[in-house]
Amino acid sequence: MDPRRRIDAIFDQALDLSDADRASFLAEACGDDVALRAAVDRLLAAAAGHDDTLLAPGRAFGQVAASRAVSPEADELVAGTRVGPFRIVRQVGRGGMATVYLAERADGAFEQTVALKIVGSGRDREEMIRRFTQERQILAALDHPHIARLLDGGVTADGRPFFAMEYVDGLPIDIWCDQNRLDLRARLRLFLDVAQAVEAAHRNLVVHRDLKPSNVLVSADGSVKLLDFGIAKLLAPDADFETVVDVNPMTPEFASPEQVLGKLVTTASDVYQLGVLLYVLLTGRLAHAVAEPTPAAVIEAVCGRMPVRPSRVVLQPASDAAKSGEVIAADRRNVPSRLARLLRGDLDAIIMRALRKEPGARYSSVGRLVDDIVRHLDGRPVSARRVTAGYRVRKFISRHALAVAAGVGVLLLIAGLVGFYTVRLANERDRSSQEAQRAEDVADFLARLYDAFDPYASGGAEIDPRALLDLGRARLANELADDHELRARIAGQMGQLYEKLGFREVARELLEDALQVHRAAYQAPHPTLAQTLYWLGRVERSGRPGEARKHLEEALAIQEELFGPESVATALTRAELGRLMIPYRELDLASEQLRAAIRVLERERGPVDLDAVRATYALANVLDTNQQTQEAIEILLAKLDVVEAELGPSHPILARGWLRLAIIYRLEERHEESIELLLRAERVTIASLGLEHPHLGDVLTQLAANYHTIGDFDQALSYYRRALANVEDSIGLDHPQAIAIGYELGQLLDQAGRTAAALPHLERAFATMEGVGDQDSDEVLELRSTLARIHHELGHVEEARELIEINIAARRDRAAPGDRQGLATDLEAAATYADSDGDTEAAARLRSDRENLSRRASGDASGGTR
Amino acid sequence: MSAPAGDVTQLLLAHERGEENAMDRLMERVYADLRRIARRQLRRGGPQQSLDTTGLVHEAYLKLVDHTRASYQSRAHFFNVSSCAMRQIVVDHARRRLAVKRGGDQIHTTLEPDFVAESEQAAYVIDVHEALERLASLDEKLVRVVECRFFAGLTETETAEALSTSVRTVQRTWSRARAWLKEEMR
Repeated sequence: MDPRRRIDAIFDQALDLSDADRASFLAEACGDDVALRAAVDRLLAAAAGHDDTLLAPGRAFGQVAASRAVSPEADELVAGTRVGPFRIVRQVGRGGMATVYLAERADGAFEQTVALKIVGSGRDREEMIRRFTQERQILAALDHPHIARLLDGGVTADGRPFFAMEYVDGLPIDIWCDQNRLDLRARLRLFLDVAQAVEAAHRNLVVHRDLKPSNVLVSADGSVKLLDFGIAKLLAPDADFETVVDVNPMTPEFASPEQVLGKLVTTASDVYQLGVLLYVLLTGRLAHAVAEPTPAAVIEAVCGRMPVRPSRVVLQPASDAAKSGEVIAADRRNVPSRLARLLRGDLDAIIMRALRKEPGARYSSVGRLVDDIVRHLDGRPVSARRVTAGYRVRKFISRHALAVAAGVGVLLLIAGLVGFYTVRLANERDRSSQEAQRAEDVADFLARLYDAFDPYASGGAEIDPRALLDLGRARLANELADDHELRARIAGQMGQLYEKLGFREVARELLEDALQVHRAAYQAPHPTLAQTLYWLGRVERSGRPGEARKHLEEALAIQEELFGPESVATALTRAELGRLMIPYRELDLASEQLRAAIRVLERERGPVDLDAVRATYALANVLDTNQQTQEAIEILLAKLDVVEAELGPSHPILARGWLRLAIIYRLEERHEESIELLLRAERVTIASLGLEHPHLGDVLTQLAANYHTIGDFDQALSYYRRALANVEDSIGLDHPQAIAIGYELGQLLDQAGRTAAALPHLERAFATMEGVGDQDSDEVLELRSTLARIHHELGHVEEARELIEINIAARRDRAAPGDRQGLATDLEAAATYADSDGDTEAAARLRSDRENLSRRASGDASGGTR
Repeated sequence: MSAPAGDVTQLLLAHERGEENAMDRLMERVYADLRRIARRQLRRGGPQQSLDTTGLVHEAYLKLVDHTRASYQSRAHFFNVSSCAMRQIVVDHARRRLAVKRGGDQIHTTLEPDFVAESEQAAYVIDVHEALERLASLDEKLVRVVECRFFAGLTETETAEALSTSVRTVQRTWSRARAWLKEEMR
């Protein structure tokens, strides 16, 4: 064996410990072995160090590649060089992939000064000429006062494409605005010129594709010119695979998600880029900072994260390179706090609307964007603020489908809540300004949690959903210590999040705290009180059903009084109560509550309302448990048809229904059908919710169980493993569901004779069962016997003997007649283990105990027949 | 799309069905295809000859696997196989870079910054490779995580998929691996 394994084992364990615990652990683990200790210390120091610039993932050569988008000096053209009909005067700039020269007409045809853009790397000469000829007509027709005209183009002698454009002597728009200290309104008016020019180009069917400050120049007289219209398309043709991952030609900070992903680029991409441009102009910050130009980092930044809202970003501390907030505000003739107030609301909404990840969710045209800005300048309501909660949630789901990072499940929930409060905000604004402020504060707090989701801030590690919520909880305690009512509201919301993640303890704590405050605050029945009771009921459902029932019944009473028996709130509580009755075996009551809930929800919200659908699934569960399997299958099939027709074949709620049906099929031993449904559910769940959502774990576990039953051990093993990896990431290894999966996996490995692999899983399950359950339950006794046998097989005789003796004592204490068989087996096993230990005396004693037991058993049996 | 898309997909599916030899054939095929795409990427990059490893594997996946027929797990299997192949390809590339430097191209003095950067990078890659060889007897999983993360440029999530393990395990193994590599390369 590699001697370093010992070092590694100690190092591995020490990594988990705090500094304080680490010292004593190391002292004990290494003892007097100075060399061992030194080796472990070196590793720990190495793990703590941050100087791994070179050893960054995915950069075996990428770093070098990135720093050399343009090859230096080699391609520089000196004054006087002829390029097509032009002569170089001097270089005026270099960009990511091209160099720009001031040049003049050299063929004597007429006098003309042009900007000559020469693209860095060589391309297929004939192909370039063909494309240019094709596009020239269209580009020549682009005659707009704010668009620099494309005059000519071709290919240099060494095969590099060049473009001659109207020469504009100006500054990039962001720099010009800052130098002239334009305030927000002046910036917006200037931006309108830019947007209107883009709109005009769109009418001529030309998409810019590369809008960024350096392509939008402002000349000394204050007029705007857009450069490079249509050129990006010439260089990056559609449907060419190579553009998919080649991010170099674009400026990643200004690229749209569809460009980064190599999807179809349309006018919507320009809308997005205008949004990025407006973001910079108004806030002085980039919407997306891209840390490194690798495709993974760019995709993550552009497709994975929504930018911080403008009104918020101006209050955030600037990164090292950026201007400070005060300077940025001063450039806009303002101070940060007032700038934030001006941005908040309309401008936030307009920019964020333009920056949506899905092209279809942005302004449908540049014209609409222009309209909203004009409306804002006129003080009229803007269209972008009509946001719905469902809309926001869809946005996050699309984020999720990219499976960019962990923690998205929580983000999804937070997004839903933010959306919910945003809608509520709109409703309440008219009613009571105080309520509106409250709702806004809740939305704001939750949205700031989402800001914390920054993989770079968390040291490159992908964020852990639990950590995100814990951060929120800490903030809640710190920031709102004195505002009981607001804290209670947010605690209530966060309790719901914890509940959905399966962290019931924390959820209960938060919700109980909220409940206490609400009870003190509201003398009369109040909807918020009912809401908190409802969620507390959900939290307690699996652990303390009695409590759950009390809470839900109280919530129901309040809601019936406030909203009447036919209200949606009442229906939701009824659905929960119905679900709760299932383990109580009060199946008739359960189905009555669920049916009532479904009826109201379907009437008020339609047949595919998610709560109605979930209640239907629960009803199927009730019917199946009540031996009405055929009816259960029928209502599920009927509901699934409607859901699929209305919500499409890839909605996660559909997968949830397939899971329910698959469970019924599995119990009916219709394994083939069950597996088929589950495989579909697996695909849809992964595509819509990602690899780390707990619902995937449910599907994988059911698949494993099916394969286990039909004897396909390899598949069962593989699915249990994946299920375990999923629950480890989603709900943690301490969750009861994780323990259950580990237990099944351990049993399976043991059956397959892979005892060494089985041991850690079973030991973990055992520790939990022993910790929480009845010490002498059949399961604990059975598992302890198994563990003893495994230890014996692995040669750990001491452990085997110790465990089996504890088990024998426990079985004797129980002294239930049914235990005799178990006791006999244990005694037999104990004798064998004693033999292996060379302890013949104990072995003989155990065998004689076993004999006595059999004799008594047969005596009882003969006595019984008499 | 190039013609052989079917081949890799077929081999992936065969491997998933547990067909004998499918793994070896898949490995060979993916290695050959990745090399081909890498060569083209190098040509495209001009005289600098830089490899963008992350882009390479993702590009290969998009290009080689027929997504209408592949199963969900195909992606994980493809990444798994590619990460081994990428190590070979990146190391070969680094060796060639060093050979160019040593072999008489005297015009480039060591003072040219880009050239130095690249030779250093190449030497570094070979150091990592050799340190990993020494670590293989310590923990094979650790080696696999480095192959996925460092050589193939996969994200944590993709690595977890490729190695059928959890993201947490990948994070943990990755930090262990970095410490061991530093130790080995001292």
